Amino acid sequence: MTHHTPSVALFLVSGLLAGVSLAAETSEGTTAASHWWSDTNGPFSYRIQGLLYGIKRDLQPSLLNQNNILNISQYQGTGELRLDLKLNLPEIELAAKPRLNLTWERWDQGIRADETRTKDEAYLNEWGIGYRFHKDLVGSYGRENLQWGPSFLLSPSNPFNPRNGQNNPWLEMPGLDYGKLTWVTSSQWSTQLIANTDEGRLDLFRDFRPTYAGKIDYTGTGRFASLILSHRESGPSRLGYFGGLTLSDAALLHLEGHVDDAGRNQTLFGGSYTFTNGATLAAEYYRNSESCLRKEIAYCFAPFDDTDPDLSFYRRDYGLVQYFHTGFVDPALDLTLRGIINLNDGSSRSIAILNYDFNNYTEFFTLADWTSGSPNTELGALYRYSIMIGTSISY
Amino acid sequence: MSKPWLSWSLLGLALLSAGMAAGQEAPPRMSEKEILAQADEARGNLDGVEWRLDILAETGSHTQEMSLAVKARGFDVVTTTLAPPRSKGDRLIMVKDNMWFHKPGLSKPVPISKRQKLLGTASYGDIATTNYANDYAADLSGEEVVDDIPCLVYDLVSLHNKTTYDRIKYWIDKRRLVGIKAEYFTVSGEKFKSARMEYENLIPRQGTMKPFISKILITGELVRSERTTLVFSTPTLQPIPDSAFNLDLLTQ
Repeated sequence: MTHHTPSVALFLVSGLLAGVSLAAETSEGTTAASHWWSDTNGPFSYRIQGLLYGIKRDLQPSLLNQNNILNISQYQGTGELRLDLKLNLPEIELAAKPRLNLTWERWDQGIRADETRTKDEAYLNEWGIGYRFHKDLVGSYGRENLQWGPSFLLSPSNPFNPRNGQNNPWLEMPGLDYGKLTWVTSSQWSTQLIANTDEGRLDLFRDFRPTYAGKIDYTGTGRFASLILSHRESGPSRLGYFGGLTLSDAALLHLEGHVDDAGRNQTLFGGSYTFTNGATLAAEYYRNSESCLRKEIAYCFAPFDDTDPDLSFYRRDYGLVQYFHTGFVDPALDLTLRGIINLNDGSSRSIAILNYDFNNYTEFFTLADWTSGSPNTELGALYRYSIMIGTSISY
Repeated sequence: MSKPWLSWSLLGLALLSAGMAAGQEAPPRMSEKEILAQADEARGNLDGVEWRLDILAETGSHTQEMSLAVKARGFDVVTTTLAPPRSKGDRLIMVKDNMWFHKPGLSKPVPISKRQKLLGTASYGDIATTNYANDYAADLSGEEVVDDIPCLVYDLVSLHNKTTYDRIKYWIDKRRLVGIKAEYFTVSGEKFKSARMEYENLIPRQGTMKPFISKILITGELVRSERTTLVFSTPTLQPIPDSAFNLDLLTQ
């Protein structure tokens, strides 16, 4: 069992706060939402979400995960309670996202075969305090999942965490600790100074070192662009960038990447097209100059290789195709199909997500994730398939 | 012999005629672009306006509801989903023809196009402020009476490919200069949506109270059972700072 007493106390206080707000909303009738969740009419906002899901994974016996040394369970059942609370005052903004998580797991393969484990955890995935020095100048400190950029596969311009969580929208991305100063100089230009002071809830494969960044954003008519200059203590400095272009009411193009002071670079470009029925097809190509093209993926990691452990992908060339259709077959059914192919070793990963809006509060979802490729390939080395089925209830 | 009564009668008749002419619905000497700009103002395009938007989508027997808090300045719009609870806190950010969708906590903001569906027959472009005066070439094709309201009928053809619709047939109320009916066509000329607009809201403009959008009913022409109703609350007019439309601040 894992316990975090201060977090539990904070969670309970947050829950009490949410309960008070819910009671107030109920007492004020149907128009209360405009008072309790609104950027315009009221200072307090909340979101409560309960999640219940099960996952089945079929592992691939491979050199990378010999005898399941990575401890990946074959069966998992999880219940999660997520609270999002925000208090917006004219000059101060407070936010907290406490989480309560109960997970049961069972192993059939590897060194933990026939073992089961139950784990409960309470924690703050995100929190923050912001102060508005001026209507267009905001300073903040806290823990958050800081994401930007137009790409679907990953965000190579982000020096803090390039993984954007799009493979599974139901699993929450970890928050990291940041101090930020944002100055919106006009409707076209804004700048941000960002200091990443702690890894927060992100599991790193290396020691954490603070990273500092300056970000400049431009928004023009039908186009946007950003430059991110960053430096990690005792590490590389790099220039990240992203941009997008609106070609028409249906077609968009985007570019994202970075280059560091050692000349290593990552580049991603892609685009999307929306059909008249509202379905959207997106495609991307990603190239990583610091690639490992050894025959077996297991030899791309330490101690065999000194490739950056922060990488999301270890080979050089990748393609992504994604199809998203709201109201697929039924108005309440959404479909997402996502295919990622490693163009160097031929392995691939396919993801299908179905989401059904049962009523205003409840969603049912299923996510099928399967791979192709031999155990020596990157995307085929860990598992053959996984299936996730669950439900979400929100208030 | 002079006839003063005749002079006075002729003068009176002339004044009466002039008065009647002034009271007629036809707008005096306004260009197509000025008329469209006036109609655009009744659907947003202000220095700062906030309202609540309730959407009801009906497809056959299936209904879906959604409520949004909307902030608009000029042609920039930010919406925050208030209901249903499963979508609470979702944000749409439209700044200078760039659109982003953000769902809190789960993933990063993603760029979207105006054509992507919001709910039912309504696409994201339908909740944006119209800019027909600058986005379309207008040709007055005639006059018609719609629900006892005399209207000017315009054929609008898109001037660029960033508009939500390629061609629109637009009925503008001659007296109030607001668009009350629209038909939307694909590039191939096929009618795929139509809309009726109401203007029960009033906002102060240039010293008088002007009509402002209160309801849009969108009907799918390809699937006739599809209807989407957008109901706009009383708008609140107040200046909105640049930071209210900043993607970094909105998604943190």
